Amino acid sequence: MNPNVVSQPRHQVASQGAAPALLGERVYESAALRRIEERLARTPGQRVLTVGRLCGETVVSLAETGARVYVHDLLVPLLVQIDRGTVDVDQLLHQVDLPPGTLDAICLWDLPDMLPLADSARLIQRMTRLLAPRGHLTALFHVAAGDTAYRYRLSPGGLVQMEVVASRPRLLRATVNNDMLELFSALTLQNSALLRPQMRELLLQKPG
Amino acid sequence: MNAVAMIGKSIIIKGELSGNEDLVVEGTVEGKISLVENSVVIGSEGRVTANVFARIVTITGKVEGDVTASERVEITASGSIKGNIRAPRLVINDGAFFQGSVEMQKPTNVAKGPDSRTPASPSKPIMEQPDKSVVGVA
Repeated sequence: MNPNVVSQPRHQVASQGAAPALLGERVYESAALRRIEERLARTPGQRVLTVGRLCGETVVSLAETGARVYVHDLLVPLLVQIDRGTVDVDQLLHQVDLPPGTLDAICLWDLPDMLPLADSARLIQRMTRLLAPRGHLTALFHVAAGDTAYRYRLSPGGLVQMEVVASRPRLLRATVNNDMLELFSALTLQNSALLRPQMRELLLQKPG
Repeated sequence: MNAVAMIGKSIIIKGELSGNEDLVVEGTVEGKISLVENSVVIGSEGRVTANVFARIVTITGKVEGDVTASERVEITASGSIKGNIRAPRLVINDGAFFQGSVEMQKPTNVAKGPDSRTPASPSKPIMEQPDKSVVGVA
């Protein structure tokens, strides 16, 4: 038995707002993501980068807009770095080899909460550089330090398997509002919302 | 029933594979796989360093290269791909590894090889829901 996998009845998990009640529903329901997808759909061929943990259905829904989706799962190499005791953002981003100013959208997910603040700033600085003028960026933040992050697997038997991907407090801290504003000072905040009881999401735009 | 060819675990092929049979790769292929009317399955033991052109591509093993399918690409939970995907339908299962880019296109002329690739279609393709699982973050 894998101690990192917890199973709960699907309706119970869904009632907590953390997963869909039915197979095929989107697990991660985000107003920011919907807005980004709407904008991408207006002009096919735009470019979007997703750099959080790999979420298959999100990649697919972004690609359905007609955009070209660049996928880099930075969570896996980040966990390796954390286990080694050193976080090197430049090495982490080495694989993201895209020209500056060319992306129409970036989905950063909750990576900033998994890095020391200075490294988060460096990550966001690099992402901002990649963004085209008037391009959008969305990021997630945990409300409480030490929150647990899961991958979900919905099984037809009515159970949700929740695999823990990050639970150590040093992995997930709660970024305070002032730090958030400082981290994204080069971008314009368009929307901020409570996504779920334990998450906040930001939608930001690079000035034109 | 379509004929299915199989490249066994101990077989290593360097060069171009083409034909009109479905193919299961459990061995190693380096070069190019071009089966534009057929299905290609990269099995759990399969190691492919090649661009793949087919109707349906299912990745359970490891692929390094671009994958172009006229119908569908599926990366299973144990599948791994470093490369770009072009297909009208895509399924990425929980646990899969994918690094690269995705372009979804109309199901026409996408698997004819690199010389006849078409730009991304402006139309929204009909998506097939993964029938086994969905993945998310919390």
